[in-house]
Amino acid sequence: MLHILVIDDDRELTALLAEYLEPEGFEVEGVHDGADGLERALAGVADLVVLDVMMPGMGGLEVLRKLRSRSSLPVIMLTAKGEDVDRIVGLEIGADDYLSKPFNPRELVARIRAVLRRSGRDGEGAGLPEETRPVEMGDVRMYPGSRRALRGGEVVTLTMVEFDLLALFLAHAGETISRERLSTEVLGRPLGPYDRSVDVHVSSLRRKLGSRPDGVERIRAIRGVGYLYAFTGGE
Amino acid sequence: MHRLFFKLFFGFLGFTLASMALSVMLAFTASKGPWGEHRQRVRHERQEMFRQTVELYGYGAVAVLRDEGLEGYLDYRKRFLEKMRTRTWLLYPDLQTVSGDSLPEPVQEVLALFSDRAEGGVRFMEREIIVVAPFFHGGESWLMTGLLPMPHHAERPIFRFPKDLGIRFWSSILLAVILCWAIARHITGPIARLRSATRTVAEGNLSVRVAPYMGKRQDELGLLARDFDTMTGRMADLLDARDRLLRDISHELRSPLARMAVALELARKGGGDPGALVRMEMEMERLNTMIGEILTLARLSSGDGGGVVCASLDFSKLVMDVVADADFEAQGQNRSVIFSGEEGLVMEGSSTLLHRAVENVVRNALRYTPEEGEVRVSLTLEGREAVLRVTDPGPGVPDEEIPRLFEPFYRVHDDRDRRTGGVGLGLAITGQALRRHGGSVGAYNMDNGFCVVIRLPVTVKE
Repeated sequence: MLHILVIDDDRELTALLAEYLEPEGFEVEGVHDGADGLERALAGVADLVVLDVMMPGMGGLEVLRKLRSRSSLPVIMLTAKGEDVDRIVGLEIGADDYLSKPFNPRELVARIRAVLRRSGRDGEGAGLPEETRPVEMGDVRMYPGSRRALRGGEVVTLTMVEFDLLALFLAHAGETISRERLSTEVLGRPLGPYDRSVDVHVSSLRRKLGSRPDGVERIRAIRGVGYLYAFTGGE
Repeated sequence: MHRLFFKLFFGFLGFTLASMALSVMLAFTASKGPWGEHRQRVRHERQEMFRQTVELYGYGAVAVLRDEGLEGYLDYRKRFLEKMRTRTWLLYPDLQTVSGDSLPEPVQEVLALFSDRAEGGVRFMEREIIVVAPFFHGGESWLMTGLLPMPHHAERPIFRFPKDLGIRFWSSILLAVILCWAIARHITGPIARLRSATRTVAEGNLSVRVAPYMGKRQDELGLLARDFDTMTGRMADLLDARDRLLRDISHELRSPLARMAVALELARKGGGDPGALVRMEMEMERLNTMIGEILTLARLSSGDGGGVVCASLDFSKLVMDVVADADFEAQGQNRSVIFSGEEGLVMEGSSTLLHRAVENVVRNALRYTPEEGEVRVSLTLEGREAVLRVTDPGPGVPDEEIPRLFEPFYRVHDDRDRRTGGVGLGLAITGQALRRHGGSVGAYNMDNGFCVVIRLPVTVKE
């Protein structure tokens, strides 16, 4: 079992996370105060720390700073602020990843696994599913297991929904996928009237990926139907 | 602009000059006081001079009369008339003229006045002076009267400044001007400063203070300045407290949301009703969006500049990016967004904020656009302003509700907007973001649609 240390003053959230993460193959230890959390993190038991930024007393950023001066333990920051400043500062000090509250726990699991994999800590019994083969299309490469996407070798930061969208698009490259299908398969709900969330997500995915090196748009809107991911012939 | 200043300045100056003039007039015309006395003395001396002259001449006349008889006297008198242009009459004590001619009317009147006076008298007429001088000669009493032409400048009724008064006059006027200017400045200067401070406060900057500019003034204006500072300080505190409260509430709301998100996934694993769970997830997303927007709005409305990073940005390109994205989304729903207008409009500002401001308006327009409809976005340069018009062929907004369109949590058609997933904060954020950039936003109904107008100051047209 991998040992995850959750440092968050929100006791109930820690309890819920423990309940959610244990079936996924993680052992969760909750600490509700920065100073104690730092002590536990330095004790060398944990494989990864999930750290809340906003805490009374010693705040998350301070805990991270003190931890980093002595240890390279992987850290995922949680913040409720949703302000870029925190994220940037956190990443500068040396957080491995960052999630803003509220987050989807599935996303947290994916991030934990990805961070563990990158730091080489995914030992035995991590309960990880078999790492699926990366999906490639032109200069875009996607690792479904760790939920990472690369474009031209560079990491593209995608949200969960965007990642699922990209997976669906790559699986059906060259075909037009209807908005209804995108909604049911990715958002898990039927497309309602005036429902524009699918379009907003597709739009932001398109923006993040940018156009292909040859200038062709990766994702095209098919008027009145849905969207199409441009197929790139295998090399 | 400086009307009060000019009112005060010219008011004081007018008053000062008027009182100066009045005092000069009084000084020159009053019978009492130093000037009056001086004038009286001069007048008296002059009269005395005339009288003595006539008296001396009388002596001479009597002497001539005794030595040379009437012939000699008349001759003497004629010479006098020619030389001095003075007509004279020597009178016996019974007031008979020696020469035997009769006296002119005015002379007779004056004679009647002064003849019984030992010292005689002088009367200034319109153009001449009549002098009556009684004297003794050889034990006899005589009277000499003379009618002299009025010498030049003797006694004009128009008053005349002494020659050396010019410099004093002008310097006192200059002094009055300087003093009045200073007084008016002293009063209006602080008012001007207070006014500019008030404007700064109105623009949302509450950090302005005026007391330091007032020096050690203890008068009403100084006190007003200090009260003004107290007031703005208090206002800043209140606003800060409000923003802090909003931030805290939003932050606190996110914690239960985070717990709900985890609980929701646990319920999914436990095999709950998928429909209900999807519904819950949607509502959570909506709450989260709303909290995010409240935070943004609180940041934008706070008086501390709200962290607006200012850099030079190409507004045309920004608008085109927004339009391209919106059009991309619209395509899937059989709608479109079309851009037309100026390129290369550059301004100072925060691209994130402006992007968001424009995007909110465009998305909003798209929300009310029917199938097959198109949203038109046009960008023009009007004077020093970039003007962005976003028109949609939708149903529009009742005229009386338009002003409230940019207020937080305002919705036109409650039921409809719920379906479109708006939380009623997008346009409020747009409004605040534009005001932060010195711009404005407005809207009006058209024959077949609705138009939102954004105005922003531009730096240069490249």
